[in-house]
Amino acid sequence: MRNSKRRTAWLQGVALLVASGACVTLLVYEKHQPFDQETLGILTGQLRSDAREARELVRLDSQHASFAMFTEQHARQLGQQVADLAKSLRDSRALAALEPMRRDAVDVADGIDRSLSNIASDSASASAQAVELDRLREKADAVHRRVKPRD
Amino acid sequence: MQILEIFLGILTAMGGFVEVGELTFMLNAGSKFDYRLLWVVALGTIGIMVYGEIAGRIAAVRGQPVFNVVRERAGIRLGLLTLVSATLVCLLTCAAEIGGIALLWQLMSGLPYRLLIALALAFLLVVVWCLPFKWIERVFGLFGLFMVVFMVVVWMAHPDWGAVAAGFVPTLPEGPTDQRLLQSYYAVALLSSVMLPYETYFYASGGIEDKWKAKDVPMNRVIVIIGFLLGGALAGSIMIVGKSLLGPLQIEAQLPGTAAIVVAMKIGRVGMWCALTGMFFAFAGAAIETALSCAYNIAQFFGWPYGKKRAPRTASRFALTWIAAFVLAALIVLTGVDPIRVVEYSIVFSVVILPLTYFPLMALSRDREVMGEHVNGVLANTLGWFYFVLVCIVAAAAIPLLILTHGGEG
Repeated sequence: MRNSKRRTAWLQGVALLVASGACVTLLVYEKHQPFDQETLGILTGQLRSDAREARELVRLDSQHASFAMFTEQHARQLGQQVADLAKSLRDSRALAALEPMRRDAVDVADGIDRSLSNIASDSASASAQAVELDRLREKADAVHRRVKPRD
Repeated sequence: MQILEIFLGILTAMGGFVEVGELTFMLNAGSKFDYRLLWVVALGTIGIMVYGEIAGRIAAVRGQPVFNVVRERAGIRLGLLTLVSATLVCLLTCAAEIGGIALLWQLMSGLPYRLLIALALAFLLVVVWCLPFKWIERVFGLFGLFMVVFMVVVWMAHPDWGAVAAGFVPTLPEGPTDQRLLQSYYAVALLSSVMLPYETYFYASGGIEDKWKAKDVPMNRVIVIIGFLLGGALAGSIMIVGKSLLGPLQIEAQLPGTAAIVVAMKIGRVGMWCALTGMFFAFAGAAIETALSCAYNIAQFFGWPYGKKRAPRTASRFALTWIAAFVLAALIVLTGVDPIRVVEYSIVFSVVILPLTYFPLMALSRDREVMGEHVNGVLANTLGWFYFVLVCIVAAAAIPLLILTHGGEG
């Protein structure tokens, strides 16, 4: 009886290890795969969202609906998010047909990151970034539409 | 006195309903799927009412908290599995709330994020050490009512109320496969975020702390029904705000500051301050509840002396456990992980442990020999079993959906 319980416990332990190993292998395999339409679309969708949020932040600042510290610090937090996104885009290549879109997305992400860094260091520069952020927002929209025309 | 107690209990339940994960899921669900998932909020709210009422009733009638029941009814092995899973989920949620507080403080102070995590940890430790249980409940619950500013935004956004009402009718996911999978993932996550298990653990432990007796069963029912109903209405309002203001801009909320921006769009600077204040008390309240839940659960399971009302030297293991929970949670976010991602995962994993928590509660509450006249009625039995089956199905679907949607990204 005790042997059978011990064997069951071992089997459960081994099964857990195998399942965990399979999950980790799957995650590592996924991470090293080139971006396909779905995975690149997730990142360009986030980029579009970040570009629009950055523009909205500037709009609220110009209308005095926000306060300087908030504008600077939210720009900093959002900028960190965009920098992480740019890193993810840089770290893997995309399938050949999607590679130009990936490179464009990296450029847009770098541009948004720069704009947000300027706002983060001085909220008074927020209104000066409005035109640039409008341009980047349009570029982010365009890149995402090229990757995922349905969205 | 009883009426004041009920009134404050209701407001506390409402003010403590929303935490950082629920906030972002609600905003994003509204932004991505319009009003189509409002019915899930309603379904989850009724579910938390049913199991909150059962857990509170058991605490009042038997003086038994949730994990004492789990050990008694599920046995040591399954009980231990439930305890470990629940503790991990509470710990992750606590970590996310501490990260959320640090992000909020950064928006107001400009100090470095990691320093603010350390300050948030110190603040929470001092608050829990110094304040009595009642004060903790009331201060964070009542000031969390600043979140009502989201309801004001809904009123000012003039949503199409016909479409809002239609959102309460359950519908199947529509569109291409990836969108249907994502909508299903959001449905699972929203249900889990409304029915987070720590709410049941903490609520029942609070009943024990407040020394509820059988005569308090009606009060428990009123607080749970009205308090959680209002909390559910607040959560639903956040979804409507997401649809009305973030949806048209195709913005996905990934930071607490985005929620403040949404309020500022309609109410300006004053609204932004109200949102920041409400979020701070809501996140801090959730951090305290999750850390204390870790300690309550472990103490109740192993039969240690516990309770905020006891001096730490007479419940030293309990006190050490909640301190350790706060410290571990802070260490998790100090590694640099994104608190919003952490809480999203913890919410999805929470649903997996719900059946393990709910089954022992159902088993005990329908046992006439132990509950006497306070045994489940027909309604509690029907709803209890319905929600038990529902959370089992949702628990089975949660992890596959998480993988198929690339962690809920799309």
